[in-house]
Amino acid sequence: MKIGSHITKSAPVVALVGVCVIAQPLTADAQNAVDPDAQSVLSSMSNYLGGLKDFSVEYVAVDEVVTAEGQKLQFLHSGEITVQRPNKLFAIRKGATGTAEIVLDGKTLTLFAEKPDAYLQFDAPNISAAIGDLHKLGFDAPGADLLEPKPLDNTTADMASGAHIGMTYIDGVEVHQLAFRGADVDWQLWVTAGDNPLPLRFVITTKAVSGAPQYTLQLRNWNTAPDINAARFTFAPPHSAHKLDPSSVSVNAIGDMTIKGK
Amino acid sequence: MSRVLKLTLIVLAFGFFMEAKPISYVLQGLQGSWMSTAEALIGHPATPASAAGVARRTVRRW
Repeated sequence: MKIGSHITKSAPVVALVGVCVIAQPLTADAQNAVDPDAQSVLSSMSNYLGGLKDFSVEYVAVDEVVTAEGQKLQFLHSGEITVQRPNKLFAIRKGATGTAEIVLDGKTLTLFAEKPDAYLQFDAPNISAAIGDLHKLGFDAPGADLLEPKPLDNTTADMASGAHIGMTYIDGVEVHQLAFRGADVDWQLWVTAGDNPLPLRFVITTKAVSGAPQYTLQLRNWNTAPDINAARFTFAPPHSAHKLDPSSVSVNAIGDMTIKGK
Repeated sequence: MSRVLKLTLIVLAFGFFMEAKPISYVLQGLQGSWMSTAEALIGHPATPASAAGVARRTVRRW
């Protein structure tokens, strides 16, 4: 009797576990697998950041490359991004390959490299379109997830589950640590505590690649009321600058771009 | 420096937007377009000629 009772009581539990196991790969209802605390912090951040009309922020980005021999290398670049939603953006990027500027003036996205003195241009009526154009070209802009009108939205982000790991500090600022699991990537986000939740650190782990390389974006000196010079969003090519044809750009095996010679 | 090498330098400086999809990581070895541009990879002196892959920069499901 006791055993039978135990089984009877256990049956719903087993059934529940079974449902969970079966449901795990089905991510259509992914939001349910995200811990409510994690969802709350993520949504607050998304709403606050997405609702900012103007902002600027400094960043350091790390791209990890895994060689065929299994050695992991990190390539760093840094700079500052200034955004005026919905359709203006200025970013500067300094790294081993030189200094580049990215300008979206409301109609046209320009990628300009100072030292080689050349630029690429695309039609882009807003920031989302600019991100989409670049993706079609074969690139994803670092931090693109955070520049969208709804940053890291459940409907577009790869997130089957998520958890609030705990609280910690970055440069003395208290932050929430969130961890999400997706089909292709796992990712972590550190969001400032309080009424103005902003991301300070974003790490994306690419599970499908041997060695699980990570992309890391660190953000600091957020300014949600920047004094923006409108000329910042206008690109005037130097007379000497060479305009490149976007259709001639291709991406090689390690992510560097090449131009097809004419 | 050939035109191709110059153009490669230009494009490397646009690394802000660089990402190759993992699925596209076909090892090219030391031949083909990679070798022709190796000299131009000044900014990445330690970049291997063949790579297993790089990290994605977005969690977005396209």
